[in-house]
Amino acid sequence: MRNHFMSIRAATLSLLAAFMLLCVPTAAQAAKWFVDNSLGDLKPEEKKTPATPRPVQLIFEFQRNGEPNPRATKEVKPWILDALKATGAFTEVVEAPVAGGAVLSIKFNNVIAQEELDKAKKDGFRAGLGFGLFGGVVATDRYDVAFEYLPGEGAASVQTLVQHALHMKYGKKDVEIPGTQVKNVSEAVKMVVRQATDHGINNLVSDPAFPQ
Amino acid sequence: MRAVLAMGVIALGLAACVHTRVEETAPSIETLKLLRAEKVPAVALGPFVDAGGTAPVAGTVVIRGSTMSPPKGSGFAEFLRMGFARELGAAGRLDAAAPVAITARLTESRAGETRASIGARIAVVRDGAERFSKDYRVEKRWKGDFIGAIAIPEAFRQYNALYPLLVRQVFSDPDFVKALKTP
Repeated sequence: MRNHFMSIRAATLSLLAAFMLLCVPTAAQAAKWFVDNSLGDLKPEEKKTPATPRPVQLIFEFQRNGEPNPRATKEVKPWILDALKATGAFTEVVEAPVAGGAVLSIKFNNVIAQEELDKAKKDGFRAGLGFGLFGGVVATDRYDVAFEYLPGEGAASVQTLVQHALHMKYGKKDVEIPGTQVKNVSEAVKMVVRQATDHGINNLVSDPAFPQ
Repeated sequence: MRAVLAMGVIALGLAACVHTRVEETAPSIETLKLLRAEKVPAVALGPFVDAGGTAPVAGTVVIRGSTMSPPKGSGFAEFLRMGFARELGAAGRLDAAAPVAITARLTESRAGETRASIGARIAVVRDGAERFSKDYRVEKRWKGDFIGAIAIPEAFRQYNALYPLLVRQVFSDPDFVKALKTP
């Protein structure tokens, strides 16, 4: 099953890898996924929670270069909901309007530069034609995760931006990836979602404008 | 080896031909803030229909033989209605019993490999009488790609993304909002 939160680069490279697996299953080297280490887990001593948590309405969208990606939104939303509930910052997280009118918007934007896409296509074809044995490719998916919290009708919003990244390595490529390897792309995206959500919500709650 | 390669080519060929349906997009914080700021009252949604007549909108979007269809059992006009329902519902402004309703006639639905557009005549109906109507249109352009596996889903995504943009354009129009608020 194709993962719809994969970037165009990752999807193209996966297609090439699948083609090579079909031709020579033993020769093709599987893609490896790494969650970037820069953000990391939120440290317990840094965690902040409001004294009186309130319910919140979630509006979530997964995007690709700022455009909606409905399939990825559907797949990632349950992970976002789980991550939000685990923060303890809200009494309840639902998609319908809540008493008090608080709204939390999260835009999970997969940012892809055209030059990176062109390079990945070139490297991907080269690595694919060599069955992954004579070359390789490293593709990085960058994510800008925008959080916006509206405390209620007429109230000013509180905002923060968290950046994260996911690296994919395919074939023989002797480079050190600045990330933690995870078993597959779903686990990788789940980890990115959890870490970004933890940091994003913590930033919002730490803002003096966030209702305590 | 030739057979294996042929199988690969067939597999890629099959993968390139996609038949999918337009997908529900999330409501946006921008439209919600707009509805709140303008104090848009709760509204009902009336019929959303295709233009029909001599200029009917296409029932599907076709890119390189791949198709994108409306949700099962409905048309693109109904999909636009769903978009209005999602945005109004998220803002707590949707009420089937409200005296004022929004209706629409979808007049344009086009998509190519680098451009897509939709247009509609949107009306405000109060107590059964049309009080306001106006044409709205949104268009998107992007850079195409020679690889079908990239070009086709990108065109579909761009077309899909037009619907929430049209909804936002309508609620950004002071004349439309005024018509909704005028008793």
